[in-house]
Parts: sequence; structure tokens; C-alpha cells
Amino acid sequence: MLVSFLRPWLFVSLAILIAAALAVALGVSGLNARAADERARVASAFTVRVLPPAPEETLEKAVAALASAPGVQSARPMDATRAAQLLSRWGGGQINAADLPSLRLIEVRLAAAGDPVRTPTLLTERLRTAGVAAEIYGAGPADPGRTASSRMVLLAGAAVCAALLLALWFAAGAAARADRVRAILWSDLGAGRSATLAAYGRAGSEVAFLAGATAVILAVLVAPGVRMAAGETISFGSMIASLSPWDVLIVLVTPLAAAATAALGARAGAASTFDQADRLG
Amino acid sequence: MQSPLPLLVDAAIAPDRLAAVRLEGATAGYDAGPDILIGATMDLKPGAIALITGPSGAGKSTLLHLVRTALAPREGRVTLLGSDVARLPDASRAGIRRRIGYAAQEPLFLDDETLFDNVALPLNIDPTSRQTGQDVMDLLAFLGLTRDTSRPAGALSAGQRKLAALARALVARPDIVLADDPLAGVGADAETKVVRLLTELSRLGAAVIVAASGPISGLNGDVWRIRDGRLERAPESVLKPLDPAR
Repeated sequence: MLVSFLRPWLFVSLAILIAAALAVALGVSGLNARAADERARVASAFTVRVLPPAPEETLEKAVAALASAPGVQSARPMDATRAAQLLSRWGGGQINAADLPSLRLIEVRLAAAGDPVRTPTLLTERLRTAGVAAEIYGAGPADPGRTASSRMVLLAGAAVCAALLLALWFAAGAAARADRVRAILWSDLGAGRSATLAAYGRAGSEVAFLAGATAVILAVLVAPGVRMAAGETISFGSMIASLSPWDVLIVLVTPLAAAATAALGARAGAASTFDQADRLG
Repeated sequence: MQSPLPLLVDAAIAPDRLAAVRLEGATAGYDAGPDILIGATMDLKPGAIALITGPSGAGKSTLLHLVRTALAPREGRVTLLGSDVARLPDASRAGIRRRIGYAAQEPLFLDDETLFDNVALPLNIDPTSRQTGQDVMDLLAFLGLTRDTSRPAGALSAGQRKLAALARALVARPDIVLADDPLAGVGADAETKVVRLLTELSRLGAAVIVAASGPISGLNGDVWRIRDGRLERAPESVLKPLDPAR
């Protein structure tokens, strides 16, 4: 190899940039997955209110009827704390669980997202058959803490990743410009422009790919430790299992994207030097 | 006993007898500055040697830049090895450059890499080159640089860098050799070797252009001078044949 950028300062700089980009991308992916889970939860959850007056056993009868309905994953009575939490989110004000009367609410979770019109009808009929008068509501608003990632977070994450890739592009370009004597000599000695740029591009992609692979390995090794330090009980295997297909794609693509970006940066850096050397006046 | 010349082995250079270098009214300068070289006309056949003389700043280096295609003529035409360089696409111009050996007045090196790697650079860049690492070693040995082959180029003295630049210019056995003040700072013994090398290259068919502030003893060829930006043949030959005793 006639051009090599395998220098410690560049390798470490690129590895840090790539690790930062990887962390941001995985973070955004995680937030997005959590938001998708929350939206799915809302779409597949309903709240049933047993209409008064009704004795306690009517509530139990309703739970049994709902739990055995087709497509229902779970049906359980809602305790006062949970009710207060949902009502606070819904109404906006702070509601104390101790202040609530018995609301006779049942949380129903479907196996899959249900039809917002048809599902309540089916559940109502099921309850009527069981002799229970009830009203069906949607699950209520999604938890804003869990859905905050949607569009703005995605855009912010993409912007940060783009900025980090731009920094990577500049770093590879700077490395190529620092190696300017080689490009000048190559020009003098009759190396073609495309061959010169290709050699610099290869050097850039090589160091960035290795730095990217190092960043991925470090992330895989460090992430469980960080999560354990944060109080989570997690093993290496369970962390791998928790990766979504998007996470896996991000991990696999990161070294390749870094290599491609660095190759373009190195080519641009070498091109300016080569062109200056190629024609003096 | 004289050292054997390292380039004697293979004499298959520049078979045609067309002008290797032809300047026809070539005018050149840098960026938006004034013309440095005005209407230069010159015809140099393969195997010929031209010594370009003139005071510092006269335009000797500019002439070499013109011939090595680093500078495009503002007017006139530069023909190298039968090709008008202004009409050549970049790839072909690069091909012409691979047939030119250029030793700059202040040569550049990859200072962190060894002398050997620096001198072998033309061979690495041109995959069709028939020369090998042994040719590099022979050339360096002839120039008295054997002990320095593994040293970083940045550690060489100014004189050694001049010799190394010449070795790099000659190692691929170019058809055109351009040497800008090649004897400056190299020492008396090395001067003789440099002249012998340049003479040997011309004998093998290369057109050699040497720029210097004054005459070079032992270099046998046409003398040109640049005066007020104009290239003209010197009225008298100041070149003497190489003294065989040296």
C-alpha cells in the first residue's frame, strides 16, 4: 500500500467520532422503538368501565368474560394508583389515588392492535352476554415520556449523526492534506489523478473501517457495563437479544458508512493538493 | 578504477528520432503575473543534452516546469515525445510525465520514509516499469548513498537530498531528464558522478536538459541562455568533454 493513514492520532480521533455517532444512532433507535411500543400498547389496549350500580362480583364476572374473549391477551382490574396515574395524564392535573372512589375499571390488552370501532363493539356484546353493563374506552393518551422520540428526536439524531460524519469527512480530508508531499510527488512522477485519488480514498476507508469496527466492538463490550452501572440487571446475551433489527443494521452499517465517508473526505483532500501540484500557474 | 555506471545494462530507450522536446514560441508565467519566459523555441532530439544557463530568476526553472507539463504555455506550443501536451487528456499527460525524470532545485521527499522507498517511488507508481529494487540499489551505490538507503529521507543532508532527487529522476530510465541545478551542494566527487550519469542517460537515448547558473565541466551538449525572458543559443560552447581521468 503506497498510502496509509494508519496513524494513532487519526485512528483514535475517528474511533471517537464513530463511537459517538453509533451511540446517538442506537439511542435514537432505542427511543423510537420505545415510542413504537407505546403506540402499539395504546392501539391494543382498552379500558372497560363497569357501570354502577354493580356489586364487586359483577366486576369479577366482567374480567372473566373479557379474559376469555377471542383476541384478548389479558384483562385485569385497574387499581387506584394506576387509575390516578392515567387520569392525571388525561386531565393534566395531579390526582391523588386515595381521593378516588371505586371506579370499577378493567384494563384490557389485546394480542394485536385492535380495530378502534369494531373491537369495542365486540367487547360490549361479550359483556352484555355475561350480563354486565359497561362502557368501553380507548387506553387513553400515550405516555409522552415514552413517545417523545418521534419526529423531532429522529431529526435531531440524524442531524447529530450527519454532523459527526461531516467531522469524519473533514478529519480524513485533513489527513490527506497533511500528506500533501506524497500527492505532489505522485503528480510530478506521472501518477494519474484518478489513481492518486483512489489510493487516498482507500487509505481513508481503511483507517475509518478499522476505527469503526473498533468503535462497534467497544460499544458492544461497554454498553452492558453502562446499563448495569445504571442499575439494570442485564447479561451480555440478553443485551444482544434485546437489539432490534434496526440496531443490528446500525451496528453493521456504521463501519461501512464511516469507511465510505472517510474515503470521500480523503479523496477531496488529496484532490485539492494534486490539482495544485498538477498545474503551477 | 572507476565505478561501473548503473544504467549501462539496458539501452532500449526512445527508439524514435523525433524531437523529444520541442518548444515553439512558448511563453509562460505564473498565475496572473508577468511572462517569465517569452517565445521560447527549442528542439531537442533524443540523446541530446541542453544546458540552460542564466542568472537566478532568469526563468530556467520555469522552462523546466513548462517541459515537465506542470505549467501550461500562455502562448506557443510544447511538444514532448511527439505529442502536443496542450491537446493531451489528463491521463495521457500523466503518461508523458512518467517518461520524464525531474530533479528539482529543492526536491521534496517523504521525509518519514526511507531513502530507498523515496527513490523507488517512480517504480511503484508505474506498474509497467521494468526496473527493480536492485536498480535502485545500484544507482544509490554509484552515488555513494549505499549506507543511507535505510535512513529516513528527512535525515539526509542537503547534498544527499540533491543526489537522491537525481537518483529518483533517473531510476525509471526516463526519455526526458530535467535537472534543476543538480550540482549545487553535492561536493566535487559527486559532481563528476552526476555528470557521468547525465551523460550516460543521454547516451542511452534520453534528452537531457540541465539548468544551472553557469557552465558545467564535462557535460557535452548545447548551451542555451535565458536573457530578459528569452531563450537563445549561447554563441560559444562552454562545455568541455568529460575528463576520463575523473
